[in-house]
Amino acid sequence: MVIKKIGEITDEVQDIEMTVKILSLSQKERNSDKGNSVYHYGLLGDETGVLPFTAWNISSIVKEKDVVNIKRAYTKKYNDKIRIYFDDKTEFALMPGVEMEVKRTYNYEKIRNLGTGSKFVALEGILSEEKEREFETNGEKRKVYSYVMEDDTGSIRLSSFGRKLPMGHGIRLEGVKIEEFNGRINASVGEKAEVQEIELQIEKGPKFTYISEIENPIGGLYISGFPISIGEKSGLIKRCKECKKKIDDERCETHPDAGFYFDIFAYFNIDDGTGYISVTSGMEALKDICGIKSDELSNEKRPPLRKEIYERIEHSLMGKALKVQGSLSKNTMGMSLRASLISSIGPEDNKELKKIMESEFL
Amino acid sequence: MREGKREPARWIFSKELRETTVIEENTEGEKMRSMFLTPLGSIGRRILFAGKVTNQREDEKSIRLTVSDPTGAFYLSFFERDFNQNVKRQLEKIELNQTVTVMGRVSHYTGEDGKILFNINPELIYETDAESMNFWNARTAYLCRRRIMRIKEALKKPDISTGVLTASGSTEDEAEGILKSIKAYPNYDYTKFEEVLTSLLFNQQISQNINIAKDGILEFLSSHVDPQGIKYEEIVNELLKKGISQNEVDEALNVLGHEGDVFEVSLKRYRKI
Repeated sequence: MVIKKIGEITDEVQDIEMTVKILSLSQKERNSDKGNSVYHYGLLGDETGVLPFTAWNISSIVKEKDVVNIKRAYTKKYNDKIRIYFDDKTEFALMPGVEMEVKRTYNYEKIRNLGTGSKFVALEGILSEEKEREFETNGEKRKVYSYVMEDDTGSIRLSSFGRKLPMGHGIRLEGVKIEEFNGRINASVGEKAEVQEIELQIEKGPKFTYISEIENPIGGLYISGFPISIGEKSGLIKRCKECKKKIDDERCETHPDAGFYFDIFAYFNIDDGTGYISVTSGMEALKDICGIKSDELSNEKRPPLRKEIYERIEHSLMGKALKVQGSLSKNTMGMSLRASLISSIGPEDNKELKKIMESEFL
Repeated sequence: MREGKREPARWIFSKELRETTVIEENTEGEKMRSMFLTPLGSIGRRILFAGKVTNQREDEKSIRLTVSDPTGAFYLSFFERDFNQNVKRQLEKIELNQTVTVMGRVSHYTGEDGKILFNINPELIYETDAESMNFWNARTAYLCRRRIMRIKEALKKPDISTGVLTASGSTEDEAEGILKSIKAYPNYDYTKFEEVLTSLLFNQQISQNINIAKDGILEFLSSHVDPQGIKYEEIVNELLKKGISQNEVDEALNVLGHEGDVFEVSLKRYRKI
């Protein structure tokens, strides 16, 4: 048996002994041909680092925050990352009274690769669009600052609890919590997270992606392709003047006296030769390409006609190569792109896209 | 992304479809599904392309179109019995010499000489513009080059698997197509296809620069209004700053004159109309 510190484990090893602190412990049900069973997983660490573990079998005496001496564990690579495994041969001995200061280490991730697989990571990027909000916890008023964090692969929303973060230049954040909320990847840091200013050059603006390369619901992207279908319910919609929610009838169910106003909306599938994705878009994204002005929608003398608006949207989008900028979100139907801007591909776009494509053959 | 939910449309040049000699027959339930397998590893039943309408025939029962891309022609048929009124409405708006984007199902039949011939049943056809055509040509050429590059890598390693190909950046269905095409077309000459792509991209680069020159000239003439016209040398100097050569400016001025957007007021002095 080999005695190992977490920081020394870099490869697949059998029969390890270690003394560690259990940082998190969760359980999951597994259905197989042999029936249903439960396994545990979580994070453990010591003074040299932190690693994830999977326990096919774990002693019921082990709880979160316990310091435990573990014998006959082994490591294996899972998704190309080292993980510790416990099975029915693994022995656990609690070490009551032993204090352990765990050195947190976080894997650096690019925004594009942020799935919900890694819960805590290190990120590098530039922050912008600061918003301040107050909230109450345990009767105490606290502040949360939200930002858009951008790197050379995309952007995400980041919340910082209780601490303003520097904007406009490169920073590295250690211990960023990654979660999926409302189908989007969100990041957050607490007051103890490490913040370091770094040299970072990032070309601002949306980043190109092929549809086949889309994996995680992040923002700050653009795709280019041809629309291959347009939703029948695209076009003119009515919104409640009070809550701004879409209404299918003359009145909003919640605010029947508020009245309504006209807005436009479109949803379509776009294909870029590597795959397709559905796109949803509102007035902001559509107004330039469709040439529809807000005045037209609010003209009481000549109210907009549903058929005419649909045809104008269809004519502007279908058959044309489009550049669609926006943010991805995940729902039960899969991934979709919420467009912030839709434009026709022009000569400069073609030049830029050609440069991106050519770079693969250099 | 979303592969499998809706059958993907392959972006291929007419040359790739024309040189296809392998049809895969699969049974799915009680239905027989036939899919084309091209020499460059595209598998499917649906394609998306852009081109110019070079022939148009219509009778009581059908509408037939020939749409040409830079490598040849696609043949489209729409029969009344298909009863897709939406497609019919789109087709009725299409005219000869228009440029169009088409997505359609591929059907095949074997000619008397044993050669497989393809027909496209359009599911979507819309008029398109020059830049969309350029985009489709460039993206399709890129996808072809990517597949040829990976086929050549795979040919060097006879025991290569789909796993290795996906790890090096291929999508799963791209990897599957590549491996199948290597077996199905053992003597295919990829060099000839590459030569076609090189010449297509070269010509496209020229036409793209001319389009950029056209936009640049119009912008310059709009912001420099002079009833006597702007001097040729001034236009050339302005466009040189944008990386456009004098020859490309000459060509763009000819096109703009022909299209009626620019007028030569006197010798070598130009004004926007």
